[in-house]
Amino acid sequence: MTRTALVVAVVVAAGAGLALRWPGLTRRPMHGDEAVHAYKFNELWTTGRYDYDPFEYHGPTLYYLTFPAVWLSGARDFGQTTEATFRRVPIVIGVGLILLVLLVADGLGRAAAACAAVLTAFSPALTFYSRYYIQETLLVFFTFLVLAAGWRYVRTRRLGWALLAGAGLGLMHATKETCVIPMAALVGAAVLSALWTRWVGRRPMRLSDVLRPWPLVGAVAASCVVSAVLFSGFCTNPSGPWNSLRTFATYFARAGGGVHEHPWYYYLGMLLYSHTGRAPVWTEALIVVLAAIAAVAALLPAQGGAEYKGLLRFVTFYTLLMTAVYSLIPYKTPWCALGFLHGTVLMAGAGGAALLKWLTRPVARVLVGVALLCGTGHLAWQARQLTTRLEVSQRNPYVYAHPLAGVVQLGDYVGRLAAAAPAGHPPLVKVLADNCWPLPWYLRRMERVGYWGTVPDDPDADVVIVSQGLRAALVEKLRGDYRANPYGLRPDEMLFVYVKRELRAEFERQARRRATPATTRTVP
Amino acid sequence: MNRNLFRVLTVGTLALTLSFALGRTVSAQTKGEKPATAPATQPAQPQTGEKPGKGDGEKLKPIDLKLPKPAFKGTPKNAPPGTNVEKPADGPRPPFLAPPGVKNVALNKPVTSSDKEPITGSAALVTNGDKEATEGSYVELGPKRQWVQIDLKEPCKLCAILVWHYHASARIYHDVVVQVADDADFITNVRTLFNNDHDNSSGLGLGSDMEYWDTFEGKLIDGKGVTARYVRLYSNGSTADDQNHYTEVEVYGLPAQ
Repeated sequence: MTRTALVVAVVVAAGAGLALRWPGLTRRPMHGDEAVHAYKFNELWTTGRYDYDPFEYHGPTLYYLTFPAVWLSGARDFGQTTEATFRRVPIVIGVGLILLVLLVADGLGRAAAACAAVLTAFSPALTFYSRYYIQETLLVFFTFLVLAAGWRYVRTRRLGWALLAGAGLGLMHATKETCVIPMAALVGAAVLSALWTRWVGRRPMRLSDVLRPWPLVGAVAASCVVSAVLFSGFCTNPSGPWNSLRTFATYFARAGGGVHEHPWYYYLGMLLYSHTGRAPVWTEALIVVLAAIAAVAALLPAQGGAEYKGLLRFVTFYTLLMTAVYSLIPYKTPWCALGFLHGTVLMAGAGGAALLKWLTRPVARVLVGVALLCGTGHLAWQARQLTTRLEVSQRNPYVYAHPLAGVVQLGDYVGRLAAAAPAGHPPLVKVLADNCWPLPWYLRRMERVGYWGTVPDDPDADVVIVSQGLRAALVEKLRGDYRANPYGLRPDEMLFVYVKRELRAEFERQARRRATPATTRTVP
Repeated sequence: MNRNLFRVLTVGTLALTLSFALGRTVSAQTKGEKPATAPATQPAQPQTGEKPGKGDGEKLKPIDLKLPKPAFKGTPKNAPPGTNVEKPADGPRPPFLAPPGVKNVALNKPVTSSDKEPITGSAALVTNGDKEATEGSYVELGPKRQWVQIDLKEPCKLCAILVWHYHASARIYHDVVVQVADDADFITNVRTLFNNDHDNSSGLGLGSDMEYWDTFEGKLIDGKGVTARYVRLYSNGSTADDQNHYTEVEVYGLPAQ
């Protein structure tokens, strides 16, 4: 494969990945985590100040990277932003993840790099979570940036690549606290690769051949500077960098699991085989099988170029370590699988290329090539289904603690109630709930809205929204005359909206005046 | 003048007596468990006006409704008393009275749906007679407002419509609207028999019926004696998920001749 063909293939894969990720970004209700991050961005936007919270919300890269998306959208305030405004950020980064494979093409092999780009573009999980306004895609991108820039440094010994790898480390740190896992896996993979290469004995490799003092110092310095600048909110909050280290105590404690505790095989089961009822089987087994072939190719004594083996061995050990660590940690959320899934995809690209290379008979090559094409097409079909029709379905293995469309309807209803209120008298909305996210996102345009974790002494308002757990306490304290309806927040978790009779009557009067189609009549 | 006054008083007294008698009947049937909206929760009984059996002195008989097996027992979890949701019934539903000859005219009739590629199942499952709460018994349509439409193949006088969305677990389907029409495109003579879309989020007009829990008994909707060939049922997700499920729809009526 020529270099031009490689570039064309990767760019086409990136285009296909973009086409798969971009449409219908406003269709899915905001996940609770997405809504929280959108609010955190708004804090930064409106105050110009970033204060890192060592207990929640992760690092600031997502928020700073959101500014270009908001500027390009033309939104002037939070109320003018939409779900798409925010979700475009991880999509662009996710497409960047496809393009980044060009930096390691001479290490994996060009055909392998092209295959990896295609699989990155079509992997259902990578596609699905690339549409989530959360940190995970960014963390995967920055991790791969470190790996790719590090590889370029190994190849060229140029200081710039070492500094870029260091900056990538800083960006990883400033993205999410779980960066320590891929960082440790990168180091562990380097050590294991060196040991394995020495053990296999074809070409002994020492880390000291690669690690030179000044580039190493430069990389560490770049990492610290990038991390400190971001955590300090561009030097406006001196305690940020210190809190970014202090936070690890919190996250080590959280790794114990809690409500997100799952068995060790949770991720593997999710990626290999998910099936509910009569819905289709969802699987990324093709990627895993090709990665297994690549692992064999990587660990066998070198037959091709030494670099080819070296990088593939490194990626293999990195992926195995990542998979092991994430599987052993009791705390599991499905998007955390992206880290080792991306390593698996890189390996799968090499596995596909190796498989075709090993086959000498043309007929066998054609048959396997067609099978790989069909398998890749199946991945693309799954990605399409899981990001369109089944985007919020419980049959989708990647849907996790996702809000229902009921919360969107609730927000819309409250907005229309506000429109029905007398001019100049926006309704007072009280939300009484221990966890009502993403509802605040859907009420962001309301002028008078407040949130309580318990029922206050005077809960009366024009609109009162209450969670199931607080509803009984609310009913005891309400004095006004209300009409109440349930809305689904999450599966089997409802919010109840109480609307004062006067406001409801005005809403009904206006709705009846304009809503019923002229050709329809209600039979009394 | 006096004669007119006498007529008004007579008619008024008769109306009061009739409504009192009907009220007693309703109370007796529900054994003191008076629901908040009588029309939506009571058995669809032919009454006066354009109902079947009008003026012909026919004796009404209970229809033998074949119910599926209950998939869950007791009061649905998270039951929200005090809200605009029907309280789940404590006992079996009172018998459904209809003129002789009334049958399920929807059985095995063609069904179309707004979602041309259901997530699981096919539209034909809606009228195949299988109303069990098992996989393979229902069609699952995509999120947001969706509908299924039954072509009765001929105009029928409708007594009642019985619908099961999904009764394997407790849930409330939102924006349930039942309409009938003379044409398949729902342009001519569209009539709404039931509408519990309290916020008009489906855009079909504000409804005044109550929301309800889907159970093995299904939801019985008064056909109000209207004549129509096409029946369309809308929904807009549920409190359990965003998809729209239809296990079975039965339409009880008589060919309109």
